[in-house]
Amino acid sequence: MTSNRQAGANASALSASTTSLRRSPLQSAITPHHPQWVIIDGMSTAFQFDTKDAERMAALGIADLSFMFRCGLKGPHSVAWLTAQGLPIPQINSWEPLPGGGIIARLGVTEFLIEDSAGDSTAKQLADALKTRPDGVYPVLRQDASFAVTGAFLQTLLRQTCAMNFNVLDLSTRPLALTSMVGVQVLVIPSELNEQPLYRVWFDGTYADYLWQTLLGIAGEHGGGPVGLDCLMQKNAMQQNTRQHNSHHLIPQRSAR
Amino acid sequence: MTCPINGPRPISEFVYGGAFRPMPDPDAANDIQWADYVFNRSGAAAVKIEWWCHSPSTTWFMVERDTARDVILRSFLYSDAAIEGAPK
Repeated sequence: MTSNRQAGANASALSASTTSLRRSPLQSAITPHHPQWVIIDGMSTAFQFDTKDAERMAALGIADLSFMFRCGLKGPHSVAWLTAQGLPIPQINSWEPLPGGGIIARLGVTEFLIEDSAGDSTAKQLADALKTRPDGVYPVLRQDASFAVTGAFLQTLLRQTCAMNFNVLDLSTRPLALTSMVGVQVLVIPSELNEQPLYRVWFDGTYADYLWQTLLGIAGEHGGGPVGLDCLMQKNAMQQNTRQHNSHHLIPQRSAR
Repeated sequence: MTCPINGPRPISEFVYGGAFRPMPDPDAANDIQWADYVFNRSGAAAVKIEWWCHSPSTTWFMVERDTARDVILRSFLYSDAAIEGAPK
């Protein structure tokens, strides 16, 4: 209980609350690993598994980021509507950072995903605005499971699970890929964190248990495994201190408020 | 197969949506023409325009494919101009 309180205190910058209103699609898969939990934005999230989180992350770590609020929209007027809301419009199959720390990803000609980072509320505001049903703009329910994968053996995992060569993507163009991973349709954004590859993956939550168990099996073969949010944020904070790249838009910031 | 939006991807990511067939005007077509459109398909091998879907992104697009050799000649997004003059 004490460790849970400490975890909550450490993550207070992430607007932690005491009541879990949302359930991560990965929760039932994660619970057997007995992590310290923290509630962020109404969702229980694994904050730390044990003292070897950093060790596993260096090899091949997987962290649940499903709690990050997101909304989606599509339709022929979606570009014009988002422009009117003051948001940047990425090129097709790419993403742009939002001033508050979130991202906007363009999933096709007229479909978008907007995700908040800690301290950002752009997606929440857009979700509210979409309730008025603007002409030619249609809300898309986004209840994805989402995680971050990082570590020295990440490309090995991708080669085993995806039929796509991510190495040809130019990270400076902020690419995204809609592809399949062990048969599950996924959205993937590749980036780097402290000169290590870090990939964000979004997918239908009903596949969460299957994908988590499958990837964890591969990670375990390489000395990796589940990692908590704390470890990921610490690494992110280190990168921000050295001002490398901009992948901090893809994972929560440790001191967002 | 190459998706016009997402680029080359393994064939396992694609779903066949059937041959493209121009719909007759429902108000002008007689019952025979309409029944032919609804029920009849040509199974003859030829160069055909087909609907395909890239399932991870649900991108529907068109493919010109030689079904005799199973060779894809081109893929493109639907537009009236793009399919004009295409083999039926």
